[in-house]
Amino acid sequence: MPANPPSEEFSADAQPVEPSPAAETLAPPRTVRRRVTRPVTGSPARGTDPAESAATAAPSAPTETAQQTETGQTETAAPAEPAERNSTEQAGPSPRTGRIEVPVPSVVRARERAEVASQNPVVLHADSLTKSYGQVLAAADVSFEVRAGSLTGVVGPNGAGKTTVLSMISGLNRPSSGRISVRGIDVWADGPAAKRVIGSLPDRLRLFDRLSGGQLLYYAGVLQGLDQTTVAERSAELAVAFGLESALERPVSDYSAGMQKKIGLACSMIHAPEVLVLDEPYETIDPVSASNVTEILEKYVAGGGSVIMSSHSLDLIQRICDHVVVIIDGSVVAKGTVDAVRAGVSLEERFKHLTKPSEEGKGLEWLRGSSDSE
Amino acid sequence: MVARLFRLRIALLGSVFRGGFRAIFRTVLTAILAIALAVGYAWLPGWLSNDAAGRASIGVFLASALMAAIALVPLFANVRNLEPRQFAAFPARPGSVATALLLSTVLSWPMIWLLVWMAALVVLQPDWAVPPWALLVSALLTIGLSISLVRVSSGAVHLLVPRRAIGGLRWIGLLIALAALPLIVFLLTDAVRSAHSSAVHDTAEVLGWTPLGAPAAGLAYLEQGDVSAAVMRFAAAGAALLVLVALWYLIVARSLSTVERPDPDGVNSDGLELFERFPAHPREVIAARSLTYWRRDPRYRVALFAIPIAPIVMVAALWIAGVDPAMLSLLPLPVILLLLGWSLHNDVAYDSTAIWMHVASGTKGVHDRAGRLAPVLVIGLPLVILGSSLTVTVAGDWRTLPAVIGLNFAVLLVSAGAASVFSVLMPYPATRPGDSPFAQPAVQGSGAGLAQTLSMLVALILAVPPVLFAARPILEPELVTNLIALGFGVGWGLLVLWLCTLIGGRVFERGAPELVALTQTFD
Repeated sequence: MPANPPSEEFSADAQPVEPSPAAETLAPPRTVRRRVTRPVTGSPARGTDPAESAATAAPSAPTETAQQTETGQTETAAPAEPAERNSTEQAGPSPRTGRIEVPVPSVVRARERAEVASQNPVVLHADSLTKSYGQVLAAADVSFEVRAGSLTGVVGPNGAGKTTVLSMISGLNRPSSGRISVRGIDVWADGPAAKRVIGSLPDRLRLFDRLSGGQLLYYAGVLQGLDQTTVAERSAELAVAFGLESALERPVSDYSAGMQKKIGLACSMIHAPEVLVLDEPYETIDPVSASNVTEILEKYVAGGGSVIMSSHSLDLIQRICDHVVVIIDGSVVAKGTVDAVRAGVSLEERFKHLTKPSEEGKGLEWLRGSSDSE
Repeated sequence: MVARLFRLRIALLGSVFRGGFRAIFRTVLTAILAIALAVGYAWLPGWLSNDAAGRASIGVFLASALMAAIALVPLFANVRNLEPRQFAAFPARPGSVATALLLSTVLSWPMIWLLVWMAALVVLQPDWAVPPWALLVSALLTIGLSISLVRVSSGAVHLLVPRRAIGGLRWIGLLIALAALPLIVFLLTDAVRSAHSSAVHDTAEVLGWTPLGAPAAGLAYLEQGDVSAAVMRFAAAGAALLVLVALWYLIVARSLSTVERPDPDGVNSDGLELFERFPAHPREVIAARSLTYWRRDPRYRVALFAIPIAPIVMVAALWIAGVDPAMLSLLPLPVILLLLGWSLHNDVAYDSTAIWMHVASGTKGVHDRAGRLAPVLVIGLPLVILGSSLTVTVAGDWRTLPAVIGLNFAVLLVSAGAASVFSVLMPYPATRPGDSPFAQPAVQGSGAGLAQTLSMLVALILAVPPVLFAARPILEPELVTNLIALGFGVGWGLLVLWLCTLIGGRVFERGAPELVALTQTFD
């Protein structure tokens, strides 16, 4: 159509990772606005490969990106500020200069966010949480904070107590001692009030899976005190955002594991909570859906919400989170912005160092390719 | 307008004869059956009684019953009735719509059967000593009253009840009809046995003053030669007719000047099934969810199928032992209701770890407890009404009906209440969702037997007071003691259930995280 402004069409075509149109309905299209113009030739786009960027240019990355988007400060505070729109228009006319646009990778956005979020007020405060099962300490004196507009990752080896900590935050697991407050509300003193501002997705707990997807969303919404109209609107939008609109009529028990995860995520968001507590939200989700979920979470965080999520994948945490809490054997061994925690090396390296495997390389000598039974 | 509506009515009358051969055959068969029923109904008074007085009483009684049916049925089944709002778009004044609808009602199948009944009444009693003018007056009054009754009750329902609730209303009507059926049969057989009893006569006397029985009563008085009494009855019927017609004009005027309250904006009405029928409130959605689970999850169905077996075995054993069958007939229903209520006693474990959704959303314990009662009440309450009327029919004394209803109502509510507390207090491992209902639970925890025994024991103890209250009125049927037993049964049941919901809700709120942890160990 010749009548259309060519710039828009072109930029949309040139975009390698198309944000799903579904996700756009949730919030203003942020990725489009914040595209950074680069020449086609030259050094590879920084940050596309998180491992590479982490190993080489890690310390300099945050400062650079902060310079590139001068208006970055306003992002977390108000997502739809006119000032920001102006900056988009400046970045817009790339086709004329013969450059194609490369979307800002999530890792860059995460670094920018870290700068901003560390100035924001604290929304979730975990204060020396302890949980003991008899002699076993699942969580020992865990303290950390999550700030508004931050995507905080909780990492740790298997059985480190991530799930215990997260379920204590979402009010599903009573701590032996300690205190959690969300927006100043004590989760364990005023549960109902705190749970209105928390949205949670526990890991390995069932959903009411005899209900259809639509019914489950409706159920979750009404239990959170929403009225019928709001629930209907939000379920429709969430279903589109998570790509579940064709599956809403089917019982959740027929869903694949990934779809169950996604409908669970949708249920946790339906009451527009201020804090999302997600336990392994990316587990079993396919890569395309995962980038979709990342987009949704980033939009949510850009709107002032906070996410605390656990994952086994250090890569993933490093890529999309701005803050990180490392839990090993039930205690916090490191916390802060991702850059502060990894201290110049990749998060995985740092993590290996933190876990201090004392007998590295020892044992398992019998485990080798050549057969013993010759 | 009147002429057009008559044309429409004729087309509607003829429309039943459209369709294939089978459809027409079925229609003709139905019509013949209906005519036979109408003639049989007219023949009934003469068959039941030989003398004129008894026949007149029964005649008034049956005519009133018919008119009551004409007035009540459109309250529940009126989807096919023409209603004023269908004519709202046409340029006609409310008055002419009302007149046309009212008059043209004569041309509908039920009214044609009514005419057949009236004609049969005259033909079957050649020795009926009433002047023709009275027959004519009575017939006109009967027709006028029945068409205005149909119109008023159907119009009122369409005006007051939103369209989407009308389906539910139909079910309620069906349920009432089913529950009333044994009782009606019982009353009729009672009337056969004692056609000359003063009860039938007195009832007919009272009904004669109501618009339901007045036209028939007028004829009965004329037959006895009491002209003034007859004129009084006709006048009463005429006055009632005027009131009903005035009411009908008001209903039409109101219907045509208002629109139905629209459905809440943006309500997603696809695929929510039961959830659409319940308000958007935690307790009600939990009820809808429980009902959906009872329908979809075979684990609940299997538990239900097992319930009727116990009373059958009990009754068989006691019958062999020589217990009075009349007393024995009282036993099965309370046992079934006790087991039905008790089947809730492990419902939290049936949800398995999905209970976290209630905990993480901060759902109030009372809402959780009350919502889960829905399936038991939805099955149990109709069963109380239906079963009680069946019980008294089998036992042979319908005067004990109030006490029997009170007893059964209390037993159902009490056992549901006790089970509701125990389901949060002592959950034990259950078959996991999705497993075969006959599979053993994955974990064999201790406490299954204890929880079952204790919950049943508590239910039994709580059921003792209503049983004691009902025992005497059942053995010595008196109206007052029966009504007291009914009142006590209903009150006790509601009180116990309310308290149990509060206690259960409290236990749920205090121990919610522990419940989640416990279900995790079962899973």
